[in-house]
Amino acid sequence: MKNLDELQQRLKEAYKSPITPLLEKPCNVKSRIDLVRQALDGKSLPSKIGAHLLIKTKALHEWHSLTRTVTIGADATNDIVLNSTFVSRIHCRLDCIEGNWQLHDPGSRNGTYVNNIRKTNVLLASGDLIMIGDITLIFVDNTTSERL
Amino acid sequence: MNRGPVTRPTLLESVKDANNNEAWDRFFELYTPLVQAYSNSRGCNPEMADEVLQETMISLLAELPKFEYTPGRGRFRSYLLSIVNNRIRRAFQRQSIHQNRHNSLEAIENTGKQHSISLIDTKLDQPGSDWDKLWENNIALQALIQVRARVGQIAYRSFELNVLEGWSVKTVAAELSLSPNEIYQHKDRLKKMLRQEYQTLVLEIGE
Repeated sequence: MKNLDELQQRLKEAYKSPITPLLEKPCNVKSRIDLVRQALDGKSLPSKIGAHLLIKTKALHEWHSLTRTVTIGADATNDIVLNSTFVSRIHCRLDCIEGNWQLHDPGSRNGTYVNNIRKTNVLLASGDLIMIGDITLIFVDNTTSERL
Repeated sequence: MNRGPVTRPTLLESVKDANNNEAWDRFFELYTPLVQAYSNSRGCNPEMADEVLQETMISLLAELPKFEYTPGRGRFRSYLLSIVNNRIRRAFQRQSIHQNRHNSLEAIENTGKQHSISLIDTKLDQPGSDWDKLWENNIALQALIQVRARVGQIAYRSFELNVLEGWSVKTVAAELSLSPNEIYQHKDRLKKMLRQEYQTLVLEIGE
């Protein structure tokens, strides 16, 4: 910005722009990102292209790469086995649909929560927090066009 | 407090540390209105705009630790735009899949896909583009917020009514029970503070 008049003109335009009402509007995404950062506990997000799922418990910090349909539950036959009394034998499933990942809960006893809302069928967005019983899962989807 | 333009480390350097809460809070505060306003301008509803913001921040959380900002060698604003555009496209894809599941009308799928492609698949980070204007406007408004926090309520209101709302000095003076001279003084002082804050922000967030 070269001079004060130029800045004043810019500010007048900005003041009437669609950004102004958004400036101090509460945003619930912030708390989600904070929870992801907290769950990462100083560790990095996977840089590998594709979708990944972080299984986070007090004792566990484990990334799974998603390449095909995966089942999640307490039974040993699942692709991802979660040992918890709150997790049903076959709790939920993740399917890839047109490059997007869908979570399907066929009717687990304690339900599956995505960003604190109980869901049975939902297309996941990168950064979504999934709660299965007392276990937190974080879904991350990296794409090639965003690499540095 | 008078903050000089070289006292703050660049924010892009600070957020490389995922544990730096203060830097991440600031980063979020600065870029959220920009990303949301741009998503809205591309046709996203509030829920989709939130998804775009969330996905953009997650991408940056993964990529920024590797980011080396070199002035003159690619702009952060162009890089951010490429992420936001990509995430808008994904949000429209999800909306299209979701709508198809609940409505068998073929037209919806076509509308969703065409909409996202026609709005996004163009070079949008050029000077004078929507993104460029929003970026500049966002910095100006963030500077205004910083200045507002440092001056008295009357001084800010005087500036807001006179400069931003376009009221005459006489009307503002009558409204706030100030002399015309005081209105001019507030205007000059705030403009100088704004310029300094603007320059600080440009240094802080890069180009």
